[in-house]
Amino acid sequence: MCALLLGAGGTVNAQEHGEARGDTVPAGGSDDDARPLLAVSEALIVNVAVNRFDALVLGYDWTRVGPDDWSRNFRLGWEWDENAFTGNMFSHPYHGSLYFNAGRSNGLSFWESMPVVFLGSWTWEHLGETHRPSLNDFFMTGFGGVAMGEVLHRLGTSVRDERATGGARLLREVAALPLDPVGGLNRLLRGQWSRVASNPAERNPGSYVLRVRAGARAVADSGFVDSDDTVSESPTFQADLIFGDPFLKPYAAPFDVFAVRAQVSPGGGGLNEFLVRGRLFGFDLDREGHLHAVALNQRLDYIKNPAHRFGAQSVEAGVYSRWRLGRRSALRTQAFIGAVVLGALDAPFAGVGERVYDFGPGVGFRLEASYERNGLAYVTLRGRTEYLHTISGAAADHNVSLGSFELSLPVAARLGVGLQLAYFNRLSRYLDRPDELREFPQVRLFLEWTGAILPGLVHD
Amino acid sequence: MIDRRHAVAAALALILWSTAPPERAAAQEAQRGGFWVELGLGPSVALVSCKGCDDPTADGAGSGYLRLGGTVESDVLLGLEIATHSTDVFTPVAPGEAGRVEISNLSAVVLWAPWSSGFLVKGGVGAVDGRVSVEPEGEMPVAARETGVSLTFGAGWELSIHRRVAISLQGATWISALGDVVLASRRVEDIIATTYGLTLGLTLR
Repeated sequence: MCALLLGAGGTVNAQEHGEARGDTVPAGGSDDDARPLLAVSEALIVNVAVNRFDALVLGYDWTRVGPDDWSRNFRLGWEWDENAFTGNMFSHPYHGSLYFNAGRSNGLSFWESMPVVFLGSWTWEHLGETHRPSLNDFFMTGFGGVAMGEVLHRLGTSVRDERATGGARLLREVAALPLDPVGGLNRLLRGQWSRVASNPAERNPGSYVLRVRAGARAVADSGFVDSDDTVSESPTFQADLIFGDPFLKPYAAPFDVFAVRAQVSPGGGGLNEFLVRGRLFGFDLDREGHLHAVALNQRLDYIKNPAHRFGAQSVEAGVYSRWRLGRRSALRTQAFIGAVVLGALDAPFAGVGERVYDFGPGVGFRLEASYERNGLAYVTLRGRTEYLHTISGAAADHNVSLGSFELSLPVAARLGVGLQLAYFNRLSRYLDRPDELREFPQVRLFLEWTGAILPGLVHD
Repeated sequence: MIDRRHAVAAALALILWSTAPPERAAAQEAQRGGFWVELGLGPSVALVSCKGCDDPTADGAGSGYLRLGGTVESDVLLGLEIATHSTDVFTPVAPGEAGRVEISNLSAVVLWAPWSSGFLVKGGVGAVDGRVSVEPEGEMPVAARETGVSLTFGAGWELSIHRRVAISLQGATWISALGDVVLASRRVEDIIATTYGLTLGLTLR
């Protein structure tokens, strides 16, 4: 969170707005050429380092691999593993981000860094563990690693300031390390922690909105066997970052516009929401009056709370619109259809062995509408539904619907209160047992702080 | 035997990756520009595993693909690929039975030419349609279809023989996750078919 705030502070500088355009040049530092072989080597070094850390520090037996394990892994091939939800759906994408940023920090572009992630994951799955290679890990590390990796790369780049000196520079470099450790270490080895240079173009999103919230949350579960609701409450912290704006920034490179929501509830599942949506490609339909832009997005979803679990790697295509209501106000809408490359969700009878959730691909759509003033959303309605076809777990198809109403009321300059009502509904259709419907309403109440820079969204 | 094949395939992919020349400046010269279409065919090895199958079977197979698309960046191509594979033996077949797996993949693929040597790396994701059939000895065959999700990766070289025509030699793998298949009274869970192919391709660009 501190890193996010520090990074946001770094992007506020209006003098840098001119850098927001044309960030097609890979940024691995100010004077980087592409080093694909070094990127691949570093991805393999990450594997060795993680394996040795797990073996020597954490003492995991499954890390003690040798030629017999490798031979067996190649001979038996892929399987679906039975590991815990958080490890599979969050830790693996973070692991994948290390590979991805081995590429990005060695001057490779977004697309060029993708094979580095999959190669890193493939070698880890076959050579890094005694277990058979896990196909779900490969999916989550690969696709999740790309999404999380590019977000963390851009956040790390925003936290760092190549023009800073002294303690402030060191603080920024250290703060960026958890976001982009491979990039940070590369910069340290190249003497870039202290070298003064111009900032890469992608450091500045052109515009951003950061909302940080602290409050409480209550989640209900409609129950499975009977209709008695169970309700659990917990303190909750939430951060929303909208990095770039599709109407202020014509498409230049993947993830030049992205949105992240992170939610932490101590005692209520820890990190229980991590949602990423990044623009892979886009173009404008109309740039006068009402604004419309087509986008192809990549999404990463991770939701885990006491009532339900849902995670997915997806792509979606659709339209962003901004309907002008007045000089300072507008209705912003989003309409997208998508494909879930691989999703995971829990349900009664789901999973296999020790795993209590199913894996499967699917399709879905989402709609969103916000009333905004001066570029800031004050009322937002969201609706989304996903259909998942299980390919590992229960013989079932699942329909998941998520909806929310979010209200932000300003109280002082940057402070406000927020109310969020969310609803999660899952209908599971089993091949060999009756359908099962379950509902999970949720209420969140927050104090919120908003930091934003939104040039050009006030009409003349 | 099969572990050696897989090890060789993996080693070959790594060698292809790591031994290509490091000059990158020339990579900006597009290998293909605008729309392109490619057709490939070749032998393959298929490994079919399932839940509880301790010793997945592998056998020779045939693979073919049709790929078409456009150019995203000077060295990055985006396209759609339809690939088909079939193999005669698969894991859950009991003694005395004949089994067959036929798989079709429809994938969105990214091709990357990091250098100007014609070296290409491929990655893709998409849907798979699989047909599994078993013919018990002296009985009528039973068959089932299932859809799922698939990944594909590969590497190879493309050689221009004309301004608009090229031939290629590519090694590729298709990982096809079919899920559960019900064959009469038998339920075979979590079928994953992994195909390693070596294909000769023809590209029009």
